[in-house]
Amino acid sequence: MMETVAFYSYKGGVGRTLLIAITAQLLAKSGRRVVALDLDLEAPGLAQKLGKQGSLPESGALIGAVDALLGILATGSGNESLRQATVEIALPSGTKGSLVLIPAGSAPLPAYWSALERLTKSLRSDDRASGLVEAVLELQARIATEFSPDFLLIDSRSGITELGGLATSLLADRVVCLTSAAPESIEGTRVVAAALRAAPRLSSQQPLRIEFLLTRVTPGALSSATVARLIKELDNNVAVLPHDSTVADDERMLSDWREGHYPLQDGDTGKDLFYATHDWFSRAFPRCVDSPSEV
Amino acid sequence: MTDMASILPGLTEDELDSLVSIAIHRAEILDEAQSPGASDAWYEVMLYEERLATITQPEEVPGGVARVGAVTAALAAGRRIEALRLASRYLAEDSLSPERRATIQRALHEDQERLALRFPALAKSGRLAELEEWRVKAATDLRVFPRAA
Repeated sequence: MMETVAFYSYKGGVGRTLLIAITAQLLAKSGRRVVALDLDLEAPGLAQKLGKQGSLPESGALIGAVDALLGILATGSGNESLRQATVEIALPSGTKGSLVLIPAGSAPLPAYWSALERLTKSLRSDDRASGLVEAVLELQARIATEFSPDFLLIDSRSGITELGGLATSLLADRVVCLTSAAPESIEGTRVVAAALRAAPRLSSQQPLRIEFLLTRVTPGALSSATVARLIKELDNNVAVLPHDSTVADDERMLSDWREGHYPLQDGDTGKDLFYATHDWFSRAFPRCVDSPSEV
Repeated sequence: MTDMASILPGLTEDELDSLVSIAIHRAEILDEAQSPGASDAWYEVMLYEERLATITQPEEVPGGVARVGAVTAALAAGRRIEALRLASRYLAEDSLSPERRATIQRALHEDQERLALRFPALAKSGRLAELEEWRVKAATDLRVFPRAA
């Protein structure tokens, strides 16, 4: 049974896409089949975080979520395989699981933005036969059928958007809400979480699980009374990831992790972030964890 | 369109008959031309038919025709929540003839079949059928991501 986990942030710049990339790799390393879907269509970045940015072909060949959704919406072309729209992510030899990326598309190439514009127009004018809701659920159902993944991880657009609302309230079994320690970010997250808790679900779905993660937290950031109060109002169990100033290059760090070069020694770049992330992961996915000493 | 809904109660059955005939003709032409305006044109038909259904009896021919017309126009407009709401109301009327009742049910069924052809994996998962109920809940709860519903 596929579990769909949407990663959401009310505001950008909190490391959401980075965390999805890390989570996807850790899950694959633990032997799980993982599909990572970039639905941050207006500002895609998951392909880059997974080291695949430069290898995506021009839109037109079916590649990515935008083209897949366009295909689903086009009457009569709904049976094409999704495999054409995906990219297999290479993992270290011996990795038991697998990781498949469905990027948003070939952004930042101009053809991608044209395809996105066509999708937006199509959804606007296609209300007669329904559109977005059915299309994204169809995409999710096809992912489940074609890839039989254990996990579908979705990079959901920040803010309050139509597609983000569907990804978090309807597609997801679980939502990981990331926020910085900035009061406006925490407050916005609280409002969205309240909306998510009240969101209607399909009758076959379980209630939505919502988890919170405070990220890029600098020393002293949580000492403010206002911030402490807002965090308490958000949830009693908010995980924290520190800001790690030693990580200068997310992609390099991810590439190292992917290849098994972990920052385990004092003074290693990204060591604090690595352990904190691993700690969060072990609590979020307790049945999928290797201990840091074994990674 | 909201303004139109407000003037409908002031129109006679004859006037509504004239307007609905013109509106159906217009919607059919726009439909044939695959115009984006076809959806709104069918919605206008739905408003006339719904009003006609209100002022006619279900057991009479005009009443039966209007009820079927309202549901099918709503479906043609892509207004599935409206279609379900109207169908639910009309099918609860004891004096609606079995033929009209069957026509309404067939229209809803055919609409589901069209959707299933278009979204085969979703239909196979069983969630397509659940979506109608979800839509009704989402449409009545504006606290929840109104742009998504």
